[in-house]
Amino acid sequence: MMDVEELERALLEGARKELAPSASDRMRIQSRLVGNPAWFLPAPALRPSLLRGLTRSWQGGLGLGFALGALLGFGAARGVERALGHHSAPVEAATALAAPGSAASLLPAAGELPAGSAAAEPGAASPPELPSGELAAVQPAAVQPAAVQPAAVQPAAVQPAAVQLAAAQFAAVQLAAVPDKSGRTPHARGAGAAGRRPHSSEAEESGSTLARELALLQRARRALNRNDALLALGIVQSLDERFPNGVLMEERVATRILSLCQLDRADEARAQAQHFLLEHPRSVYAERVRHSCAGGR
Amino acid sequence: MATSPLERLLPEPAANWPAQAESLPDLATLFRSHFDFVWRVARSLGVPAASVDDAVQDVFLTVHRRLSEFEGRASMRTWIYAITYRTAQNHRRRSQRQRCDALLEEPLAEGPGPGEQLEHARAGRFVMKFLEGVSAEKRDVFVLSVLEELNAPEVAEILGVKLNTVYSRLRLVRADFRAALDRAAAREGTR
Repeated sequence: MMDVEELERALLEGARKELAPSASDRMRIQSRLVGNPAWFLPAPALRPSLLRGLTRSWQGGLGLGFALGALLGFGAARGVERALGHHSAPVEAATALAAPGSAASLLPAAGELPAGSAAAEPGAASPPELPSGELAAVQPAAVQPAAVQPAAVQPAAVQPAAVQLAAAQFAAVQLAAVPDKSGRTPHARGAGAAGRRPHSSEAEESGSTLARELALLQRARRALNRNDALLALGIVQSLDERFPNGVLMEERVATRILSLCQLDRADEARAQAQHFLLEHPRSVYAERVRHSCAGGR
Repeated sequence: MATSPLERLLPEPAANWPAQAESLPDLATLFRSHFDFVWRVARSLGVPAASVDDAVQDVFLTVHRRLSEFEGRASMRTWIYAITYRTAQNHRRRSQRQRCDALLEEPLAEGPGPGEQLEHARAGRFVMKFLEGVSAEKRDVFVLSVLEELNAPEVAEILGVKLNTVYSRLRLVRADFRAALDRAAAREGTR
């Protein structure tokens, strides 16, 4: 008979093996976590405030609708048309979208901006070389303490680089899409916005939250493009959890509907679409939704 | 669906992380490296079977979220043990002594006791049954020190107790375990 110590060792070894996860345990937990955007995002590091200049002044506006249209690839041309009431715009914008273009190629359609305006400069598309006006709008001025920011407890908080990219995208599109009525160039407008509210932590807060929301939404859209509707849906779900009162709800719902269609979950898609079209009949995404499996055609 | 011009212009953020960010792993990497022991510890620390999935998921989300707070005072592994321990505690409290682990409900006496042909499953049952019968304080020390083979200072750090407390609990729980083994061996002998 084994002596007690030997028996103890054998028991413990057996117990370790018995308590180890099986392949199906692993798969099950992994499939839960894969739906979380943090799956492919490095852990959050520092939290600089990134979007000082991106204030609420334009959130939810038509310019935003356009910006998102362009970024997410949904009906951007229609967005331009609606935003500007400009009859020739759709054709030009569509051309710009079709061309292997740059941010600058969107400009003539978007606002017929004067040559040399901010977004037409090559730097507009590349964050590290932003023109000064955009720098004023985008660059962090202070490090925000993590404790103050509710997003600090969000698992999927995006890396600064990503936020900066998203911010630059926003800034570029925003500047391109919405010429200031005062006649100032968008370039001047960006600087002005930053100048007016140089220390507004509320603006920082909303700006960086918005950038995170956008970054996730873009990932969902890319997943959808890759026919990975399950991932897209997972990201949309975590958007619901993280940003229940998000700014980009129309885009989110549209992404959900298209994901559901891709997954052959037409009933759910239709239920969502019905609500969506009732609430946002004139949304730039309405057409997309009507032509999806949820459109009932 | 066409990609918008701006998206084509800008590479995937993932390709663009600054070097500093590369040292912080994503959830997939954390999961690959640490899943086995997180699972094992969650189970052996008494998280009910029905909640183990939730607990393990919580551990990884917490680890990922708090990675920037990891100071490197202890090893990453010890730090994750500590998070697992706290998460397991929460789940244990939540389930309020629910005994839904079918493993534990099977009476030990029905099978052959621990002996030479001891199967892993039986060993697992024996140990789980034992852990079920001791106090939470002793169990935590047993799981971390004996099953997971962490050293006493690490266990003290994880549990937030003094080193001497770890040693004394460890002595007691080892004696309990030995006694349980003796009883089982005696049962085996009398058959």
